[in-house]
Formats: sequence, structure tokens, C-alpha cells
Amino acid sequence: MTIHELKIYGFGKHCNLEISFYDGTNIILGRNESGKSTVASFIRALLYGMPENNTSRERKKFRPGNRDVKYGGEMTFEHMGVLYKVTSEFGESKINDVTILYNVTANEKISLGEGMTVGETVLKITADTYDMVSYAAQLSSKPNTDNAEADYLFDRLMKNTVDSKNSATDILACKRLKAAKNFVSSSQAENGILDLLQKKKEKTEAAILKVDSVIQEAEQKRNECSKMQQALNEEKDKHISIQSDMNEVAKAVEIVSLHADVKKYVKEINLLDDELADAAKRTKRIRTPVNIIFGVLISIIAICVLVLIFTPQINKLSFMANLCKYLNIWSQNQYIYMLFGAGAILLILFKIIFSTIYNRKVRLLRDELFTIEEALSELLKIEYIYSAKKHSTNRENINIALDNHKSEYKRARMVLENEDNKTKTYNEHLAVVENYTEKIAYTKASADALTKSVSEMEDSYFLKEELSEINTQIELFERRYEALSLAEEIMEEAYQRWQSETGPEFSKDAADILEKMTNGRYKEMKISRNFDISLKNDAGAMQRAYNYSGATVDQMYLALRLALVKSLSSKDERLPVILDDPFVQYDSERKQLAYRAVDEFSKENNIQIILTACLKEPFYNGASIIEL
Amino acid sequence: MRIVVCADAHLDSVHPTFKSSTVKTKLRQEEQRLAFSKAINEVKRIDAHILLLPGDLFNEGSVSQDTIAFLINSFKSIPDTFVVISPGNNDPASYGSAYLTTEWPENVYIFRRGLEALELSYDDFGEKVRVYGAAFQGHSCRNSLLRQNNTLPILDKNFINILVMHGNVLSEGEKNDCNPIFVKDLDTCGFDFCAFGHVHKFSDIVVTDNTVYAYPGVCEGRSFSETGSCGILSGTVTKDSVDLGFVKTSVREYCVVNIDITGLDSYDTVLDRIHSCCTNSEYIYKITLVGKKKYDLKLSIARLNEELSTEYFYAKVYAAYSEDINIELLKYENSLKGCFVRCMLKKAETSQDPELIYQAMAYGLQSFDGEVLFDDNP
Repeated sequence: MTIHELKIYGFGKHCNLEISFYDGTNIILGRNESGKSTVASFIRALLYGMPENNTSRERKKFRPGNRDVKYGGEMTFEHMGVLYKVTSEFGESKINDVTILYNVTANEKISLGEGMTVGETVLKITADTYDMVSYAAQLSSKPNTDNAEADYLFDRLMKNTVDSKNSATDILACKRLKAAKNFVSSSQAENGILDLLQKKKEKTEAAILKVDSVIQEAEQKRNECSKMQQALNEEKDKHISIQSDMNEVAKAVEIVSLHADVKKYVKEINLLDDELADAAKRTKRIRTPVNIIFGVLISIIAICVLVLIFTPQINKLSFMANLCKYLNIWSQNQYIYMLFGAGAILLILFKIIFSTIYNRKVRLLRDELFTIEEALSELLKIEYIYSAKKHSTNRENINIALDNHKSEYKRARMVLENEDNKTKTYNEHLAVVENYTEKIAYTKASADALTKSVSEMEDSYFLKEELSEINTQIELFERRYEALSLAEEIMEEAYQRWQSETGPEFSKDAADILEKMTNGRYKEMKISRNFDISLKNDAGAMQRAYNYSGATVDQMYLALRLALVKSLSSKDERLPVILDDPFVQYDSERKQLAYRAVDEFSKENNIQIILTACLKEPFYNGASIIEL
Repeated sequence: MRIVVCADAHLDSVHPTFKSSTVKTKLRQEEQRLAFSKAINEVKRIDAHILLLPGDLFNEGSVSQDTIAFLINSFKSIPDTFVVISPGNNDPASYGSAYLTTEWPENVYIFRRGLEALELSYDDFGEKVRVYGAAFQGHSCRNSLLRQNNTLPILDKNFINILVMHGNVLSEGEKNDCNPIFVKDLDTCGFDFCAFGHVHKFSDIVVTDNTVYAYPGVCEGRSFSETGSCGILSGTVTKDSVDLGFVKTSVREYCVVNIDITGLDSYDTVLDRIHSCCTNSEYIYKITLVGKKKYDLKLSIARLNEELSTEYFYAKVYAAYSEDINIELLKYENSLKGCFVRCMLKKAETSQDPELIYQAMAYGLQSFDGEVLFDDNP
């Protein structure tokens, strides 16, 4: 590419500026802040456009202060035998930018592909490559160590000088790929993304297994509870018959213990009955004659009364006449009447006393009897009416109850003979029930605890979903790792190829240019990994860059840059090189040597050079000079 | 006969996405209940004779007493509707289950063991109905609950025979350990309608040779495998026809969205594209960016996620795009970059996986410009 002409409508300081360029070396002269660098920026802007939007510093920086002036310009250039004209006007943002490319040779407009720039369309290089190849915006003592484009070139140079094996391992691009690989998976530290994802996967799988196993365990325990509950229910059903047996035993015991009391009471009743019978007998022995005598007396008295009442009628009867005769006899003897009377009275008294005593004793005996009968009735659970009149009824009831009791007692005795077995069975049953109840409670508590722990864990359904997502991520990053490994492998291959095709030439070119720049003083240089340059001094020893002046170091890097330009641009069509004040640190002699080297480089390689400078030097004759 | 079918409510089961926020967890639990309440409202609206709940009404391990109380009150509010429940694998009728230990209202019937039939009769339409169902006893069930002692039930055609069950409907030969129900068996039985739970997506009303069945799906989505509208089935079932429609109950929808970012040249345009595709800020979005990302577009997925988290109830972005690199110019460059591209293209000619080559090329070129970074570091 050779730039022929620039027409700046408005760009930075420049307004309506026209500049013509020629083959070989072109020098733009101007004081500081005269806009020399702005020209270089303008060329780049026409080839590769302005950054995105109005907020970018660059778009703002070069916007003309006078809003009436168009922001943009034109450039005419030749490339591969074709003359082109590019016209650009820059707006507030990229969308508002207008760029027209015209093929002057063919007299036709060229449409730029969507998103394509003039440089990409015509020169077929990206903006990054242009920046590295053509445009040395700032010459510093040390290249940007982040610039991987340059890095591999210097790596080649370094390897040439230190006789190391030619491998891409140390170049920046490869280092970055390696770093990215380590970020994805670090076999040593195991803290790469893949490593972490694998751990997360293992953790999630373990969590799923744990949840499932805890659920299963809880389920098993609930099944156990269910089975035990069933068994317990069956035991409880058995309990009814066992319980009735035990009830029977309890009842038998009750009856047997009751029997003693019953027996006691019956004995007492019998004794009392006997006593009463004896008392009755004794009384009868006395009472009977007394009653007979008393009866006779009462009869006699009654007869006498009757006789007295019915004397007139009686007198008619002969036996009555005889009786009266006797009665007259009796009435004449008063002592007989007195004796008779006294006897009667004594008898009466005796009877009364005897009756009283007898009655009292009998009453006492009876009371006692009734009391005992009542107690017995209570034991036998029958009704008892405390009354002499109801005694026979009571006694009948008692006897019936006693008969029942006897039968019950017999049965109870038989039951108690088997009592031991029944109690043992009952106790065994109780033990079984207690055992089941305890186990069920314990197992249910375990199951509940397990269920609770499940509720605190993640849901298995969601864990499985999470696992699926982790697997997707793992696949993604495994693929990335594979891609990074492939990139690293191909980078090595490309480096080897580039080295064999281009490397040696580049190293030789850099050394040749340096030798010319330094008038043969420095022919040999070495570059370390961090771009520290060493030169062989007059004494033949390699000395580090800091031992040299800034200008000397600049010369070294200028030589490298020029070699770089030649290396990277096509042999068929070299790209122009724009150097922004490259000799600023040089003294006159060095400046001249450097300029001559640059000029010679331009002519030998057919590369258009545009460099900026503050002062006009005498040795600039022969170059095209543009004064701003 | 008017019926409503509501399956897989999974009350109190909330996706772990929200577990970092107690507020959102509680909100989602409330929304699950709200969705279930909509089912109850539908019962009231059509004055349904039966509400069928084919399982997974709640998750046994995590259901709260409040939720049980909520269910009891819900069922009490529809006293004229018979609620029939077939417990599923997440709410099995095992020992200690809420189904067995809670006093449910009188209009609720819960199947507790193997297949059994519940007979109902309705005067208003003069039909007799038998509802068949069975309960899971645990979290899995290898044998079909439709078979008792390996025998299928014989249905009385004088009844409207309905099956309500939790399980997987399978074709012959398939296996599953969550109550496998074979279509062949369903056809043999000839149920008038089968209401199933377990599959979380609405299946449409499926008509086979001799029966009709459907999965209503979940009534409120819980994850990105339960996307779109979720709901219940509502309508009528007779001896001759099944006329059921899908009724949406979901409060919030899960959405999986793929967004093509090919041609977009800035972070803001990508964000705008996301906004135009994800229109409801109350929804839950999983956004995957696909297509070809412009090489010079710096896109931070973390930044996108942070920004979207303030604009949407939930939105998460994933990167599945490839880099759009213009290799047409690069392959002619006389540089290591150009050499690298040429080597890659040569490899691509014989590769079975050109996408991988392309991706490797993008990483290699990235390494020239700076650190190789991923937009979506997890």
C-alpha cells in the first residue's frame, strides 16, 4: 500500500488540510502539539473507522471544535496496482459514520461488507495487524509485554540468541492458553472449574444417594412399624381371651377369699341358730308347764266368771249345781282363794320375768344373728331386710345364695388349680405387648427423625435436576478444555512452521538493521524472556540494556520493529510504516545513522515510510517533507 | 358427572433456587397454595361432583401442619363434592403418614392400600359411579397397583368407572419402578376415564382403544422442567364421552428461552434483546444465549445476571454461543496468527467436529489479544 494524498475536512487540530505523500520516506515536520500524530490517527481512522460511540475518548478527542466543520476527510492510496479513494464522515456513533470506498482505477464504487472496514476489505488485514505492522504509535523502550503479536517474534529472537530449543511453550499466546486450561482444570491444584464441577457432581450424587437411602431407611422403619402394629393388634385380640381368663382367676381368688368369710359367718349363724334353739328348748321346758298352769288358771277364772254371769241359767243344770256346791265350798274357805290368787300372781310374775329374760336373750341372739346374716348377705350380694318378719325369707335367700356360692367356690378352686399357667400366659402376653409397644414407639421415632432429616435435605427431584445441570456444565467445560488443548497444540505447530518459514529471516533482518543503525558497533544482541536486551560491548562482553543509553535501547527496538514490519507484510505488497517521532531520544549522529537505515530499509524493501519529527535535519534531503 | 382433576400439587416443596431467600421461598409456597385454591374455586364454579387428586398432594417429609390445615379447610369449603385421593410416591400412605394420622373431613376419601373401589351414587344425574384407586406405600412401587394378585379388576359396565392413580403409563415391554401402568391393561379394563398423576406435564386427553386417560400435570411449576402454563382438568365424564378442558392455575411460569445474539454488537443490544424476549418480569427465566457472538463484543454473563436479578423475579443467563471470528483476512496474514489460522483450517478439513476446531481457533486468537476468558465462569 502506498498513501498518495490526504484531505482532512476536520480532524483534531486540522481543518481543510491537504497532504501529499510519495514513495520512500516521507517526513511530517511540526512543532510539538502541531498535530503530527493526528495525521497518523486520521489515516488509521479512514482505514479502520472510529471507535463505537461518542463516549469513547478517541471520537471525542478528534471531533473538531467548530461544529460547522465536517468531521472526517478523504485519502487516496494505491494497493496491488489499484488506486482507491476513501471518504469518511464521522457522526455521534458508529451507526452515524459514513464511509465511501471508490475504486478510482475501475471508476466504480466498492461496497463494504456489513461490519467491514476499508483496511479489511482492501488490505485484507485486521486493525490489530495494521497496528502492529504499520503503525508505531509510540516508540517506547520496551514493547508492550501484553502484546502477544510481538511476543512471539521476540521469543524467536530470544531463542536464536540463547540457543534454546524452539518450542512455543514460552510465547505469550501459549502461556495464555495454558493459563486458561489451568483455569478450567488444574491437575496439580485441583481447583479448576472442571475440578470444582466434578467435586460438586460427586457431592450432589452423594446427596442424592444419601437422601434416597434415608428415605428408604425411613420407609423400612415405617414398614416395620406397620408390621409390628399388626402383630400388636393380633396380640391385643388375644388379650381379650387372656384377659377373660385372668378375670376368671381374679374372680376365683375373690370367691375363694370370700369363702372364708362366708364360712365364718355361716358357722356363726349356725352357732347362733343352735343357741337360739337351745334357748327355745330351755324356755319350752319352763314355759310349757307355766303356760299349762297359766292356761288352767285362766280357764278356771273364765269359767267362774261365766258361771257368775249366767247363774240363773246354769242353776238349771245339775252339774252346775254340783259345781256351785264346790264353789260354795271354795268360797267359804278364803285362804284357798288367797293361795290360789297368790299362786296365780306368782305364776304371772314368773312368766313375765321369764319372758322378759328369755325375750331379751333371744332378742340379743336374734340381733346378732340378723347382723351376721346381713353381713353374709352383703358378702353374697343379696338383699337383706332387717326384720324378724322377713327372717325366713331372708334365710331362704341366704340359703339359695349359699348354694350358689358353694358351686362358685368349687369352680373357683378348679380355676385356681390352673392359676399358675394362666398367670404365666398373661404375664408373657403383657411382656409381648409392652415389647411391641416400646419397639413401635422407638421405630416410629427413628422413622420420624429420618423423615425430618430428609425434609432438611434437598428434595431428591431437584437434586437430580441440579445434577443434570452440573453434567451439562461439565460437558461444556470439558469441550472447552479440549478446544484449549487443541489450540495449544496447533499454536505449537504454527509456531514451528512460522519459525522455519519466517523466523531466521526476521532475526537476521533485525540484526542487520541494528548494525546499520549503529554503524557496525552492535552486531549481536540477545533478548531475555522479559524483553531485557543485552548487547555485546566493545570489550566483547554482553551487557544488559540498562547499561546503555535510552537512545541505544530505542535503536534496538526500532531495528526489531522494522524487521517486524518486513516479516509481517506480504512480499507482494508491503504496507506503509508510520513512525511517530522515532528519533526523539537520539543525538545528531545517531539520528543520521538511524534515518539512513530507515531510508535504506524503505528503498530496499519498497516500503513507504511516514515519520514525524519536530526539527528539520540536513540529512532529510531526499525525503519528502511536509511541514505543518 | 362433573369432575375436576388436580395432580402433583407438591405443596411445601420449593425449588432450591429460592432457598437462599426466605422471602421468595415463603412466597413460592404461598403461590403453590394459591394455585391449589384455584382448583378448589373451579370445583365450586362447576359444582363438581368429584375432585380427583391422583397423588403427590404434598411431600411427606416437608409438609407443614399449616398446609395440612389449609387442605382440611379447602376440602371443608366444598362439602358437596367428594374428594378422592390416591397417595403417590411423595406422599405415600405409609405408617405415620398425614393421610393416616389426620382427621380429614367427611367428604374426603383416601385410598390406603391396594386397588379398591369406592361406590358413589348421584341423584341429580341418576348414574352410579365407581372410583377405583390405590395408594403408594413407599417411594417406589415396582409392581402395577392396577393388578391385585396379578389380576386386573373386572368392571361393571352399569357404573361410570373412573380410575384415579399415581404412576407411569407405559407401553408393553417398558419398565419403571414407580407403579407401571400398561396401556394394554387399561384397555382390557375399559375405564371410562383415568386420572393420573406423576408426570408433571399436561399430556392432553389421550384416547386409546378402550379408555381415555390424562395427566393434568402440576398445578404450579417448580422447576425448569415444568415450564409454561400449569393447571388442572375440569369438565364432564359420562359413559359415552369425556369432555375435559385444561384450566390454568399457575401463578408464575417457568420459561426456558434461547436468544440468538448473532449480529448484536454491544452489551446494551444484548440486554435489549433479552428484554424483548422475556416480557413478563414476574416469571422465572432460564435464558441461554446462542448463535455467534461478535468477536469484539465483551459480554459478562455475571454482569447480565446481576442486572436481570433486579428486573425479574428470577432470571439466569447461560452462554452457549460461539465466537464469530473473521478468518477470511487472518488466513492470509504473514504472521503467527495467520499461520495458526491456516493450520486450524487444515485440521478442520479432516475433522469430524468442525465446531470444536472453530472454538479452538477462537481461543487461540483470543490468546493473542489478552487472557482467554470465559463470559460465564460458574
